[in-house]
Amino acid sequence: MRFWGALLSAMLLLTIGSLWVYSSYENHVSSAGPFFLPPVERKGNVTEITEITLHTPTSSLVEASCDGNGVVEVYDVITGEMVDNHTVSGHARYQFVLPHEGDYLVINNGTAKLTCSFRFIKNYPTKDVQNAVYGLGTVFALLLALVIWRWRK
Amino acid sequence: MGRLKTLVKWEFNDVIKNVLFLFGLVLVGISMKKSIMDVNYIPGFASGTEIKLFGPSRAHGVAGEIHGMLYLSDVWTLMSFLILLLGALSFRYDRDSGVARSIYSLPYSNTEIFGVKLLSVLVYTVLMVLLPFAYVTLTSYASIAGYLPEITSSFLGDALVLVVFLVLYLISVATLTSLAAPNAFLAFIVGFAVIYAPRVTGSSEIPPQLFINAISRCGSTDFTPFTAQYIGWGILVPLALFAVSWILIKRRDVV
Repeated sequence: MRFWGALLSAMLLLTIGSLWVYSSYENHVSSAGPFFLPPVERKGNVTEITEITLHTPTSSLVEASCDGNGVVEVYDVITGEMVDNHTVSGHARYQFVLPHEGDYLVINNGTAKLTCSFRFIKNYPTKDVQNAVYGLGTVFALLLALVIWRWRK
Repeated sequence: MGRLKTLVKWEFNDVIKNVLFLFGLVLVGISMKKSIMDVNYIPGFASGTEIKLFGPSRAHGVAGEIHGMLYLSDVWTLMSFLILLLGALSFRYDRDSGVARSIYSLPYSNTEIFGVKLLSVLVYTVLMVLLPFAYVTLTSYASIAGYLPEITSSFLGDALVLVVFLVLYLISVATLTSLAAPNAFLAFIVGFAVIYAPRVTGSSEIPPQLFINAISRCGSTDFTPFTAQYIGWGILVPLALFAVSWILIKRRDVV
């Protein structure tokens, strides 16, 4: 049936389209902030946290620019692992890498107030994402070849 | 069963419908992919004795992007367009081109032909929305794929039910207008008016806007798609329109 040919060609085109989307997004600079980050406060057993959740669709190289005094901590929201921490006194401009797509939590775990903004300057799909795109693309291509080969008979 | 299989094969072998399916699937997929490619942020404040900051259910950014793909206005504009074309191609175009005279004179009842055509439109439409959705979700979030069921659990079930309601409504309008109209172009234009009038006039009480808004509300507290309004527009109205179409295809001559 031509249906399978159309379906598999479409998925193959979608694979190529995804790669094109990633390549055009690679150098796309996006920014978040500035955010005002008061320190985490603990009064007795009550904790008050002001946080920012950042979402990135790829792994990203982020340039942070912070003013004030404090400790900027970045955590992976899903696993709770710390990705980066940086002590800021006065002004700091530094870079860190968000290892994969997903959500990241930013808090100020210091004692004084901070203002931070983030620029996402390089965005690359992770190895897992590349494996998924190329792997599925290969499967679609092989199945399409099979379908076309059967048409000839 | 072999009889019906031949009919199904014939229906899924149509060149124009398959070309439409190919382009529809690619366009829907790319617009979904483009929609998630941006950085966003949610400022938050938490206070209490035990604060839960981490875990898959807290990944609101990822959940929001995946959820957002299901109610993109680009996607549904394109989908209503393509569903109307699919309906006109399945139910009307074969009559315009004269092929229908041979098909309907074969030893199949009109009900069988109607059922198979409807099945083909349903399969094409559902695949055009859900296949790109699944593909983009799984490949874009491959590094955290294991957590996706938990991240999406709050909204996905309800949202998919509403997607099915919306698709059923659009298909039933396309089917009825195609069978009632005297030619394929007119069927398309009338269907287009029925589906776009609510959008143009801004009334969100009638589909498609009713369902698009509802999909975006899935996952919020005490929202459920199983209310009289959604079931009425998503199941009862389509069933009524399908019934009228069925009567039309049984009663009217193939002209």
